[in-house]
Parts: sequence; C-alpha cells; structure tokens
Amino acid sequence: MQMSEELIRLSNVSKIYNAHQDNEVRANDDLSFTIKRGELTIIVGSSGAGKSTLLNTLGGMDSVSEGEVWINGSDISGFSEKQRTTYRRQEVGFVFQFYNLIPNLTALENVELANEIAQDPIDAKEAMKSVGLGKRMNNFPPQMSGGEQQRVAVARAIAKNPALLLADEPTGALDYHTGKKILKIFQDYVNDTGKNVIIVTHNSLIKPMADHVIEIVDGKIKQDVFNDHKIPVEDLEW
Amino acid sequence: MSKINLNMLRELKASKARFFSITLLLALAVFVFVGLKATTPDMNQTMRHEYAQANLADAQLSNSLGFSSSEITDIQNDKTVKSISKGLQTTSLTSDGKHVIDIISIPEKISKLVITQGHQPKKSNEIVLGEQLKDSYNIGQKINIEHNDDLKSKQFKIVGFATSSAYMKKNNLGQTNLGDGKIDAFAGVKKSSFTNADPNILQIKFKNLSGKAYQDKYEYALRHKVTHLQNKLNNLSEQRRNNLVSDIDDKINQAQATQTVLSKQKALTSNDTALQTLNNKQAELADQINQAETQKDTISQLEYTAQSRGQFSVGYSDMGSDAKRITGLSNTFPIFFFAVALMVSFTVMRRMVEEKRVEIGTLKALGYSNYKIASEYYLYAGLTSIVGTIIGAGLGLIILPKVIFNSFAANYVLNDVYLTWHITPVLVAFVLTLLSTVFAVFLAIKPLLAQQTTVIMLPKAPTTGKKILLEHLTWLWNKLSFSRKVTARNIFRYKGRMWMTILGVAGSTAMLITGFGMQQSLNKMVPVQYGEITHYQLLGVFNNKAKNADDYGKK
Ligand SMILES: Nc1ncnc2c1ncn2[C@@H]1O[C@H](COP(=O)(O)OP(=O)(O)OP(=O)(O)O)[C@@H](O)[C@H]1O
Ligand SMILES: [Mg+2]
Repeated sequence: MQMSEELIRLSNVSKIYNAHQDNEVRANDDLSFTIKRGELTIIVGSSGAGKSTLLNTLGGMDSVSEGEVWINGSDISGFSEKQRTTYRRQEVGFVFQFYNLIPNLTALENVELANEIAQDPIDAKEAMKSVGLGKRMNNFPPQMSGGEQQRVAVARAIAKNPALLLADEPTGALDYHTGKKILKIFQDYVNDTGKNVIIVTHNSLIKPMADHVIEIVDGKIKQDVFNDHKIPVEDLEW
Repeated sequence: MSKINLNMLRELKASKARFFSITLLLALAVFVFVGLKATTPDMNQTMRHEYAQANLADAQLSNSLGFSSSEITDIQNDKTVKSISKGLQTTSLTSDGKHVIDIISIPEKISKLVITQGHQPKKSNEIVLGEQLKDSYNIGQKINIEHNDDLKSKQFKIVGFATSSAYMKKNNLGQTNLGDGKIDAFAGVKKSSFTNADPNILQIKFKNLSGKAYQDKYEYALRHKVTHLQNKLNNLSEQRRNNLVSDIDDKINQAQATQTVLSKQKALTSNDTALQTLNNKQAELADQINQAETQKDTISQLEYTAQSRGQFSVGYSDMGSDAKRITGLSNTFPIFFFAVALMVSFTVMRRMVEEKRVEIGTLKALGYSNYKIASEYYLYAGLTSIVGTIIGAGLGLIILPKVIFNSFAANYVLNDVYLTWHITPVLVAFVLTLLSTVFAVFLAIKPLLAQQTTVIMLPKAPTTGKKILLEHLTWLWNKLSFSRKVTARNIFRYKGRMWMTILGVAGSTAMLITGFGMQQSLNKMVPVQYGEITHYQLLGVFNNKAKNADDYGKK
C-alpha cells in the first residue's frame, strides 16, 4: 500500500446539535484542513469553541452532520458502527477531557483495559511509569487526585501505542511542571515513533511546541499555520 | 482474566446486596412455582409407588355369604380379568370395646400388606396389626376380640405391624354397625384363622389396563371394567338368590306338607301325650317356617358388589383429589410472586444499565464492541437468573412437595414422599427469570449502545420536573417543607418508578390480604358448619325392609 504523506483530510465538516430547533448549535461549522503524518498538531480555542467536538469526530466517536472525514485513506464519516469500533480500537488513543477512568479498576488495570485490545501495545507498567505514577499503580481512581487521574488517562492512551493519539486538555488539571512532563511525553511520542498526536487546549502559550496549529473560534477555523521550527517542551515557558 | 470481565466481577462484589436481593426474589418466585408444580406429580408418584409395592388390586369383589368355587371360576374366566386373589374378611370389636378392627386374611399376591415391624403370622392364632394401632399395642402382646362366628379364636398374639394400600387412613377406615360405627384399624391373619372356607373377598387385576393411577386414562378404563364386572355379579347374585330361595321354598313346602299330615294325625289321635308331641312338633315346624321366611328376606337383600380402587381403598380418592387441588393452586399463586419478582428485577436491571451509562460510553470509546460490552451485562443478569433458578428450583423440588405431602399425609399411614425431577416447570421458571433480567438488560442497553459514543459518555439529561397539581393549592404548597416539595415533584417526575412502587405495594398487600382472608374463612368454616348449619347430634335412618323392631339393626 502506498503511504501518502497526508494522514487526515477534513472537507467542509459541520456538526450541528439540535438541528432545525430553537436551540440549534453549530459546534463545528464548515471545517476543512489536512494533517500530515508524523505531525504534532495543536487545536486551540476558547471554551465552547468546538474543540472537543472536532476531536470526537477525529476519534470516530461521533457522526458529523455534513462533510467528509478522510483518515488514512478512508472516509470515516461513512463508516458503519462496527468499522468505527475497529477504527477506535486499532488506530486511536484518546485522553478524554473528563478522564473517564473506570472506578472499579485500579490505575494499572485501567491502562490494561485499553492495551489489552490494542494491536501493538506498550507495556502498561511502562506507560504508568512514564507519566510518573509508578508507585500509584494499584490505587483505584477515586483514591487519586484529579491530576493523577488525568495522568492515568494519558498513560491509558499511550499504552495503546496508537497511530493517532488524541488528547483533550491533557494538562487541564496539572501544575506547571507536571504539565510540562506530560507535554514532553507527547512530543517524544511524535519524535520517536513518527506517529501523530493531536492536542486540544485553550492555552495558546504551548503552541510553539507543535508542528501544526489550528485555531478555532465559534466552530470555525480562524487560523491554520505550520511551525517550521518547533520548540522542545523543555524550552517552553508559560 | 480480561479487565472488562474483572470490572464486572468487581461490580458484582460491590453490589452484592443488589445481586442477592434480586437473586433471592427470583429464587422465591421460582421456589413457589416449581414447588407447587412438582407437588402434584410427586404426590401421585408417591402413591403409585405405594400401590406398586402392594400390587394393589384394580377392583375388589365382595359378598357377605362368600363366593362359591363355580362363581369364582366364572369370574376368573371373564375376558377382562387377568388374575384373582381370594380372601376373607370380617369386622370385630376388641374386648375392651376400644377399637373396631377389619380383620383380613393376608393376601399373597394382590393388595399385599407391607410388614413394617415383626413378621407375618405363622400360626392361626397370630396376628399383624395395622400401623393405626401401633400406639395402642406392642409386639408379643395378646389382643382379645369379642366373639366372632367367622373366626376360630377370640385371642391372637401380635407378631407384627403392617401397612396396606387398602387401609391408608390413620382413623375412620369406613363404617360398620359395631362399636362407635367407625372402623379404626385393620389386621391380618392367616386364612386358617377363619372358620368359613368360601372367600368373601376377591381381589382383581384387570387385563389391558394402560395408564397409571390417577390418570384419566386409567381411571376411566377402570370404571368401565368395574361396571362390566358388576353386571356380571348382578347375574350371579340373582342366580344365587333364586337358588337359595327355591331351596328354602322347598323346605317350607315340605314343612307345610308335614304340617298338614300332622294336623290330620292330630284329628285321628285322642291320646293326650301323643297329641302333646304332635302339638310340639307342629309348633317347631311353624317356627322353622317363620325362620325360613326371615331367611328369605335376608337372601333377597344379598348383593354382590364390585368396587374400584376409589371405593374399596380408604384414602385412594382423597389423596388423588388433594394432589389435584395443588394443581389449581399452582396455576394461580405463583403468578403473584413472579409478578413482583419480575417487576423488581426488571427495574433494577434497567437502572443498573442506566447508572453505568458513562462507563459503557468509555468502553465503547476505547474500542470495545457493543457485543462485548452488552455481554458483560447479560452475564450479570444471566447469573442472577441462573443462581435464582438453581436455588429456587432446588428448594422447590425438595421442600415444597415434602411439606405439602406431609400435611396432607398427616392423616394417613404412608411412606415418605417420593421426589422426582421435573424439567418443564424449571425451564419455564428459568425462561421467566431470564425475561426479567436478561431481557430487561437487552431493552435498556440496546437503544443505549445504538447512540453515538459521545452521547453515551455524557450523563443523561434529567427529565424536567413539571408543575404538579398540588402547587396550584398555594396555601397548602407553601406550608410544605422543601424536602416534601421535592418528594412530591419527584413522584410525578419519575412515572415509571411511581407505578412500580404502587404496583409493588398493591401486589404485596393483595398477598397479605389473601393469606389472612384464607386463614379467617377456614377458621370460620367448622363453627359455622356444626354450629349454625348442622344442629343434630344423632342421625336416624328408616329401614323400609324391616318388619319388626328386632329386624331394625340388621343390614
Ligand atoms: N450534546 C450536545 N448538545 C447540544 N450542544 C452541545 C452538545 N455538546 C456540545 N454542545 C455545544 O457545542 C459547542 C462546542 O462544544 P465543545 O465541547 O466542542 O467545546 P470545547 O471547545 O471543547 O469547550 P471546552 O474548552 O469548554 O471544553 C458548545 O457550545 C456546546 O454547548
Ligand atoms: Mg472540550
């Protein structure tokens, strides 16, 4: 199979909630962009701009109202539920904005829950160590702080070793140093594996670490720029 | 273990109370249903065992004079009769007047006794008593009976105790004109203990009787064959009566002839002493003629009877109808239990799925298939259903038939209930429990999983509360505390829950009322029957064949 340079292409994608009703919301409004392979992409925008909506679309977790979503040569907007499940399992690692850990499973088991069904997973313990939770592996989520839970969510996404790592506000609950550590993990992931990471954030100060920055305002693309010289996370200040 | 399974296992552990309450509720419903369904066949089966063990006769023929050997041959050659067993029977009062006992010659092949203690009588002065007398006599003791023409002896040595399928009740084994009018027990002796040789009882086994005891097929066929035999017996008895009557008539004629001769002789005699002798002879003859006339009356009442099991075996019909009564109960009573159990487990299962909504969404987002996610919940639901069915059916198959049988059998001398395995009610119960658990999960999880992953990952938007009627009564509404107001609104906000609660309370109340109602009406029955309806203490019956007061006691 010929590998094209481009991994993702969105053309005229819209997501409309409560269509044709009084409370209609155009969460994503006519988005078109492309993302190359091996890119670290950052999607920025203020609260309610439609970032999570876009990320869910890319992660095969929601349908779109209009437009096409080409990923790795197939239009996932036309996928059946079964195809989408396979896509989520094999291609995507997702860090959810609200972590969504399973309360009945320990931190480590939460990670294993994901990498058990992945094709080429990373060792769950290694993933836990990489987010700095080597000593908290046997804790249950309710026994952990918000930031710790968020890091478990990161470990769970990374452990799948996915082609596309999607992170929704992955440092939202973290202090400056811990946040930086996590961001570095994402940057290293792209550099080491040549796979893709897309980070959603409202913090525009981290933009310099990315190859590609898409800015969304009110569901529309305001800016779509490439960094020719991305900065290592270590040198980032905010 | 895969982590998704582990998750469900932890869920199960964390919600033990929920799991067990549903399981037990289902088990209770299954218990009542399976138990009642099993009781009728188990009771029938127990009785059939009893009958098979005794090789209980299909029919019993009897007459008070005994069957002649030509009659027996005639019956034996009837096309319906397979085998026949000859026996003797008489009823006696014990010397102390306490017990009326049916004494029978111990049958060898048909309607056998089961010796429960001691041994069969070996000599003609030995006796085995029915278990009815177990508390009154001991083995080795002597039992004295009032003089009975049919028996050679008045005293017997007790050598054992026995049961008989023809005398299953503990008391009131039939009516008699001895003692207090009720037969209290039976006893078995050797044939040689009887004085008369002609058997007055014939035990019959029919040919071509298919079906089992209490099955319509058997009972109908039996009734048919017994009617056939009765017709035959009617012919036999008529012949017998005619023969006997003509014999007596011959005698009477002879006597009358002699009478005439004597009268003539008297006219020719003048000798006082000779006259006296002739007078005496004449009086004697007149007496004989009188006696013969009464004998003719008795003979005219001679009947040969053919009785089916329901008639000759005390308890056969009762046990059958007792068992049948349970069938009726089993068709109504479990409905209440199942309705409550189904409703509760249905609600709980649905709510469990709704509570796990976000978790289900997460698993879906991680790439777990709908099938895999749903199967975890089906497993949980199936497990409650399987465990509930196993516990309920296990106890139902063992305990309920036993308890019910024992309560019916309290007035009988019977073996323990014979339990058997009944697959159909267990399967029906299992399907019903599956319906209330697995099907409930299906109904809840199917539409949930059909939604977009992002939607499932969000908690469900709560139903908006509407203004309720009570709020328009401002003065009352304002007096309610905040929590009361919330409660009042929630009642109408969650209609499903409201109806479940109302139906649940209604169902439980209905069951309670039914229980108390049954108890009360049963308690009232006896005082009403014997206090208000039946006032008499003694019953007199007019015997229209009696000619004078002395005849009255005769049959
Ligand atoms: N299920 C939904 N039904 C209706 N409207 C929705 C739904 N989900 C999101 N929206 C709306 O779509 C818009 C975009 O939401 P989205 O979650 O994508 O924002 P966001 O950029 O991720 O915001 P934040 O930074 O706060 O997470 C918002 O106005 C939101 O109210
Ligand atoms: Mg968001």
